[in-house]
Amino acid sequence: MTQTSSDLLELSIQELGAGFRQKRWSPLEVARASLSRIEATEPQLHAWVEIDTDRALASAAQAEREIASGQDRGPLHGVPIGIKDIYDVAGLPTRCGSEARADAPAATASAPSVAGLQAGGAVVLGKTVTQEFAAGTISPPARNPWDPARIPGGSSGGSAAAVAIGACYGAMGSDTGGSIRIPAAACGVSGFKPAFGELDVAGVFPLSWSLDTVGPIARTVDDTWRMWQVLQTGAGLRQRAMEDPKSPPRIGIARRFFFEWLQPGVRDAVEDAIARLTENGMTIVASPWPDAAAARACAFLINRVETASVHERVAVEEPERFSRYGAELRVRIAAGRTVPATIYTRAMRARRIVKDSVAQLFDQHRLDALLAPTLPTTAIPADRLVIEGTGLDESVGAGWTRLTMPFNATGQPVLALPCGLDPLGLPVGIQLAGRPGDEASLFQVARAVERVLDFHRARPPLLRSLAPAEFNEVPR
Amino acid sequence: MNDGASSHTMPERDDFSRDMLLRVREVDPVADADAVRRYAREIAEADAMLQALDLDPSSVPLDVSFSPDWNHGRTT
Repeated sequence: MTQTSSDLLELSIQELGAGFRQKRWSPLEVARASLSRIEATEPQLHAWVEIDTDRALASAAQAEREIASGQDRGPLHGVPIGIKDIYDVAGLPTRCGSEARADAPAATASAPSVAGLQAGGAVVLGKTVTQEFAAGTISPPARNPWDPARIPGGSSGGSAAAVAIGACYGAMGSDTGGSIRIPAAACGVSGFKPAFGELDVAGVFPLSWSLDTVGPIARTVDDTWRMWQVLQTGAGLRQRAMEDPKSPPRIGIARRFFFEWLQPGVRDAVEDAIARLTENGMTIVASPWPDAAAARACAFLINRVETASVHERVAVEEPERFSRYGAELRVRIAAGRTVPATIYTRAMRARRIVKDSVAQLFDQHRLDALLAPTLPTTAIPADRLVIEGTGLDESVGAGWTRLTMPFNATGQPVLALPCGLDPLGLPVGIQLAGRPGDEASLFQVARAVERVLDFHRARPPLLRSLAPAEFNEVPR
Repeated sequence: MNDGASSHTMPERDDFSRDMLLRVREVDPVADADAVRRYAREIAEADAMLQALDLDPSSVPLDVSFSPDWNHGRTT
């Protein structure tokens, strides 16, 4: 059968790697297919801030030579990926989506997480769009592949949009208040927030150091797992295999807080997903978590104060540079400086209470995971940045972090995946929170959930409108 | 943070918001007053929620170190 560049971009990371090793296609062919997809979709999506074509092709050629000679660097060897523009990547500037860093010099070294991916043979295509300094959920100018008139979510919006349109097989994001899970949900892909402290965040511009995590976004749970494996290897962490669960997972549902104030289309899709999980033998357990709102409050307060601290020197000592920050972020920084220390320390101390209460919840109900909607709405129009249809009057920033922030306070690992579409044909996402230190079990549960929901093969309608040239036969 | 009850009275909140606006304008002279008021309200509401928790030092240590490990430093 004739293989087109679009066929290649539909493959899973596992299938792609198997084909490399069987010489059915090569890393250079795949890198070129990715670059073509970027060229075809960027006019509508604006997901990338910089494409590093020469280095990407050189890296792909190196992977091709290594694989041909029998060298195997692992599951990402020769696989094109994107890196959010708050990570240092050697040779590229880290502009953090900010005019204030338009003159940033090229980084002299890659962040350890990026270096680990590169050591694993991943082909870095370039840098993806981030909300300014990762502080927000809009990610301008990036747009959503499911409807380019809508936002992709953020702050890792470029990464999620690039993965959803098949421009790369995975991309790195960061998650301080939900910035991996939020765009994953809005763009219909998977994303993993590791436990706090699990991966080194050095070389990644901080937002809130007590909450910052870095992690992968990919099309499926299995692809996300393969990126996570390479990140673990790069960080020198012990790996566990992802096996199928020995018994059907026990999944908790905390309806109070997580199922309040949702758009009807979101509620229906998530309830339908829960019904299908039950029909397929999974045990759904009512698991009220009374401290969920307090957990969100902890993360919110810590985030706001630490963000101000990160940028305080610029605000006070470099007024001209500070004036180039966006107006909303300037207020957040300037106001965050004024928050009393007693409020910050109360939030830090309360964090222990909410962590303990979620641990007790898992123990009491013998949970493998806690399931919740990721967002209260689906993707919202870029020209009308308001939350509608939830019954709650809140800003996009507050609304879109409402359901994700509690787990930044507890610090536990969380995996986001799509579960269906709303009546407008936009993706709806769920998140599965797991036990710290047992990420493999969380991935096992997520894979079982993904198999039942069977949404991971759905693709954005934009793909069907691509120019026929993009579907050309791959040159051999 | 619109869904939390607040223990702050309205005059206290107004003072907090006014003081915040004055100090914000020291580094951002063109800061939008409504945005600052909204920020102050969100901070006050979130803090009010935490004030309702039992943070007595006999049950929650005064130090603020954090580990996500569920076996580390349990408060109960």
